[in-house]
Amino acid sequence: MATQLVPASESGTRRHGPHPRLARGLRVAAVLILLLAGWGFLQASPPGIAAASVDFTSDTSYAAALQTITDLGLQTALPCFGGANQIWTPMGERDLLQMHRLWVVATPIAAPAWFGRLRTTPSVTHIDGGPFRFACPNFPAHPVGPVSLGDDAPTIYIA
Amino acid sequence: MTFGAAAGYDNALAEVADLGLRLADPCYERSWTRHLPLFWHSMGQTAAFASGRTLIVATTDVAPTTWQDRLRQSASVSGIDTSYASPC
Repeated sequence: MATQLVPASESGTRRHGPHPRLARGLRVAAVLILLLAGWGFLQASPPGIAAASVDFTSDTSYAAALQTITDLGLQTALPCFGGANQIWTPMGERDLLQMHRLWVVATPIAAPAWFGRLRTTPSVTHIDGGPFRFACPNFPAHPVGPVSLGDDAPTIYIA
Repeated sequence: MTFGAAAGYDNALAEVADLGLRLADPCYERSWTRHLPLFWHSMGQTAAFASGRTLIVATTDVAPTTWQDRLRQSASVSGIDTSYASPC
């Protein structure tokens, strides 16, 4: 049997734009993509990041910067320090904030989205999650003075 | 750890940061280690500090081995309790 082709404009089935189901699917996909993008922004990005350098606005005080990061469950910590039996140095980084920058590391109570939260904090101008490469100095095998507890030390809660 | 009347929250935080200690929430941390549902909240302790001049903190790998001595010698710290038992 021969089939007669009828132009869509004459058949009455011509539609402008994609099929309704396809259009609905595209809308749902677009919403999902936006949601995922937003969620990804709020999550620690890049994933698995545990430390960052954080630049603050020039008018941010040390107290305000410190409260910002501790509210998020972060702490200040200098690169190259912290290994067991390494020379200890104060970790507050008060001097470093003169350059409007703090090095921070995540603690067990860090916000799941701390990287994204910091990035959207008004007093923060830039945040860099690395990866970092540091040229750390050689420490003496038996340093004089206080040393750091190191990774293997058990956590002690203090009240 | 308990601070004297002259110490503000800012000073207390600075003291904690200098010593390589961190703010702690033992209940939250216990839930985390036990893989229980977690509901994160701001970890600041301004309210507790305002009412009792206390902070709940924890040692970290960047704290000095002499942290207890240093805390006891601090002019702004009036007391520390290392036998803290979590209420949860």
